[in-house]
Amino acid sequence: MRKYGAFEVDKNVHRLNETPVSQADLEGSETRPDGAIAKAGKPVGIMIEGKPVVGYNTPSRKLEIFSKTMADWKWPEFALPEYCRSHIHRSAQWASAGKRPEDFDPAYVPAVEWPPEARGEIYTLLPTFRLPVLIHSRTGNAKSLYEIAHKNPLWVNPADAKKLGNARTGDLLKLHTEIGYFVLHAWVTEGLTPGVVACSHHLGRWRVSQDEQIDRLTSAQVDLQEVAKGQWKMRHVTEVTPYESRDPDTQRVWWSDAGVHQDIVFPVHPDPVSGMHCWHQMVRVERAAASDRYGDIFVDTNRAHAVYLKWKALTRPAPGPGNLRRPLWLPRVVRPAESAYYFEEGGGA
Amino acid sequence: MSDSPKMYLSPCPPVDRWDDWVELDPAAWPRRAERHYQLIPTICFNCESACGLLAYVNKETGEIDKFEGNPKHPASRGRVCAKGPATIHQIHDPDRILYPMKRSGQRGDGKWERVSWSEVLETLGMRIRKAIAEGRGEEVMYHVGRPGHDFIMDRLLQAWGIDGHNSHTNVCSAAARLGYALWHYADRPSPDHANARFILLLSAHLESGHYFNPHAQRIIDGKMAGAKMAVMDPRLSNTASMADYWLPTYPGTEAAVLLAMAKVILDENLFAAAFVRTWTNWAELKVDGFDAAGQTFEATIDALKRHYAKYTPEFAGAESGVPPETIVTIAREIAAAGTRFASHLWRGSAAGNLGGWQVARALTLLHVLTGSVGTEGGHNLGLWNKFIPRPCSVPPPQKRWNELLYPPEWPLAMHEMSFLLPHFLKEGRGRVDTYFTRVVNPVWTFPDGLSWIEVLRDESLIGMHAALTPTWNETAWYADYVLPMGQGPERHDLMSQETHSGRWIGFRQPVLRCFRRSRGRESAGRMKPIPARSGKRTSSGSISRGPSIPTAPSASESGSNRLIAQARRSRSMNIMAGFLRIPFPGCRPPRERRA
Repeated sequence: MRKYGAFEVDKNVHRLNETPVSQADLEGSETRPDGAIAKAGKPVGIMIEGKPVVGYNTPSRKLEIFSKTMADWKWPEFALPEYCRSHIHRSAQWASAGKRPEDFDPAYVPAVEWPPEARGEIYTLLPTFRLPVLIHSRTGNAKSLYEIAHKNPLWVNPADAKKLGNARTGDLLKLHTEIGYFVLHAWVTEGLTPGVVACSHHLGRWRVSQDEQIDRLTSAQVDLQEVAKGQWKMRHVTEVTPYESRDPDTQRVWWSDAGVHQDIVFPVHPDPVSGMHCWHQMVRVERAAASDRYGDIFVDTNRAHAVYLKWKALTRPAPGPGNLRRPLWLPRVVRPAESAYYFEEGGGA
Repeated sequence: MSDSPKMYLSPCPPVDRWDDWVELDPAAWPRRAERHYQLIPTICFNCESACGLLAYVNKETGEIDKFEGNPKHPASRGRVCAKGPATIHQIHDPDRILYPMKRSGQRGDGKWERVSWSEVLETLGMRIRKAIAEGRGEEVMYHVGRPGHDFIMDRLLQAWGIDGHNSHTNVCSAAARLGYALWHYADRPSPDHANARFILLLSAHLESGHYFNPHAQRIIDGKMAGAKMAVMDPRLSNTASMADYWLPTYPGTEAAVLLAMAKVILDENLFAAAFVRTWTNWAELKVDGFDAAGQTFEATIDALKRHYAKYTPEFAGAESGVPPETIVTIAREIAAAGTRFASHLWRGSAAGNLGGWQVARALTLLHVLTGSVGTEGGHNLGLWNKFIPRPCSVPPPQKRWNELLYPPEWPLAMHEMSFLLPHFLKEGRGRVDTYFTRVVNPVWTFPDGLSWIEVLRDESLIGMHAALTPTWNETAWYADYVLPMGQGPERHDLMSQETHSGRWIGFRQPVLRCFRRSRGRESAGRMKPIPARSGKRTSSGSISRGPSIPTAPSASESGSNRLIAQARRSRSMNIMAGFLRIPFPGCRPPRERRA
């Protein structure tokens, strides 16, 4: 390991589900009529064509086209692979504008309530794509990487640019989410499907201090103010500028952009099943006003908490069968003892 | 020199030359100035792929001049992306954090003072110990993004007996994980792109994303051998531009398209019937009033066909914007590829959408129908290809359940509901006494960062926050302690990833320590000071540091050396040693202290 920095354990690893059940596991095990092999109540394998093999670590030891787990945990309509409409589906966009309410199902999708100041056409914002040379904040201040990538403009299809008053590359646009807005440049491109706008999340680092020790190649210095309870405003004060340090390259910085921070203007969207934060945003896009500046951000955290409560209301909480907090077979990080999986008597949400 | 001149141009130095690799200094051109290097392998830390790097240690100066790919690494095979070589600029970053710091004003005021590691370790260790002793173990939370290592912190937290691990998974891959896990427990795919005949990507894995360097080279291997590729992405990524088919789906409609493909494969009887009969739980199917109990396989397939009849290519086309005939064409190509059908989805549409977990599930249905699960050229299970060595002894699992991490509303979450922490705290669900952040910057990377700032400023909700980071970030600004960590080539880590159809383990080692050890110097602190050069361009194009004359031991050390030396000078080697002063079951602490 020290010499090569890596060690190859195996090549061509396939079909490990066909691995025979070990002799140790077979001893004292019992085989059910459906072929499942269990030892001391724990599944250890499955009979396939007359042979005991380990199979998959699911309750059936097979690939589960039908998930009894989903049915048992209050989502019977999703016991099979299905398609469900996203929160940014057109029907949700229409509903947020008071149109075609019959197409919208509030039992599955939280309704968007726009702040009064949100104006402009409704789009889906795709905020999830990476820039190949960056990785979130981990590559902070790596000079060669920020020399390559330091702009995250809004991708806009020409058809949509036309609707935005013939917006051109470099024009300032204002994007409203359910909890605030941000201001950034447009990049008009055919490389995106119409009706969707896109912005990479890898840029827009900021610092609130002039302190010379803070990532100056990567971030804009900002003024961040809580103007009223839960109402926050951010404005760029200085962009990236050359500076003196023990590395002469910091005086050769030729770019000034640090990008615009978008994630901070997104409310939380916890998926009621997987718990995933559903990143796509329904946004209203308008041309920036004369008073708006590049990088401006406004957020109302009171609204952010209200959006959280709205999404939480879609969940179907534990306990599941047997007063469980979580299916015992499902993976869990840093897995606790089995006893911890059960609510105490009378517990539950 | 007796070296063959062509060796200078070899992109992958052979192992037998790593001890003395010679290159010409491009900055000295046209003069032929030779530079002698010792090449030391380590692994990259600029994403979680753990690609192999070779550090070029200049034998004359004892410093790392550059990083290139390690040809002996089984996954990256000598290739790296731009982030690998950029590691040199992270080591020499003039703004990196070199000393532990403690806030001196209010949290977030930005006033800091330098403190010793001993003070840091004492303070944090006492708090943790007190919380555990008082039965408040869950108030200690270790919040980590992609950790860059396997198992070590899990083991530590279980040794403390607490349920205190928080992650970033629910802002990243939770949805795809659930979709995959419901099929086969393994919550990650491991596609065998190199041997595939048809590759379907719901990602941009020729240019970015998790494991893109090891994946991209194998996707190209597959394409060179004749595989066709389709990319489903609303954006014309570089990956989509290399595809045979670009499917610019309207976001969130991907599952409709995949299920329409499944319907085509079912209706045209192109599916691998023997595989589906043997390896799925079709006998448990209950749908639309049909119960497979006591029914034949054929009758069950008919019930499935009836159930999926709603997902016509026309329906999927209207939802997604992809022409129905394209959906049919690709479905048939996938069926023709059979067991050699590979795909990938990690974040993308799964991470973007409400119900996005169904995208991974619908995609896996295509693998099940084509019998391409576990095959050469097909969809393999992540846990088959990721190799995690198990320590010979592990602590018993914790007997506690932390509802701030796994709240009852999301019993199927994959995994900790990390991004809701501010809202949980605002709702009064609990408090965090001692909060660690490492490789995670929730104020900036998570949604709703201002709600994070609000709770981070409130000492009644978060008693103490220690940010473990080599560089400043927006979350560290709201910490009580900012504690510098090593950059990639300054760390010891074991890592493995499911990059292809093999299994491997990578070793991240502190390069300069290895160099000194190989030269008979065990300790960085005892190293002979190296005269620094003035601000002259080096062979790698990086800039060496001035001023030139060292006046004290610390001034003679490069940034990374300073870190190591400073850590050595403090009583405790690292922060973990400080934590380990706390007694935990089955292990005697080095020195008992009274809380």
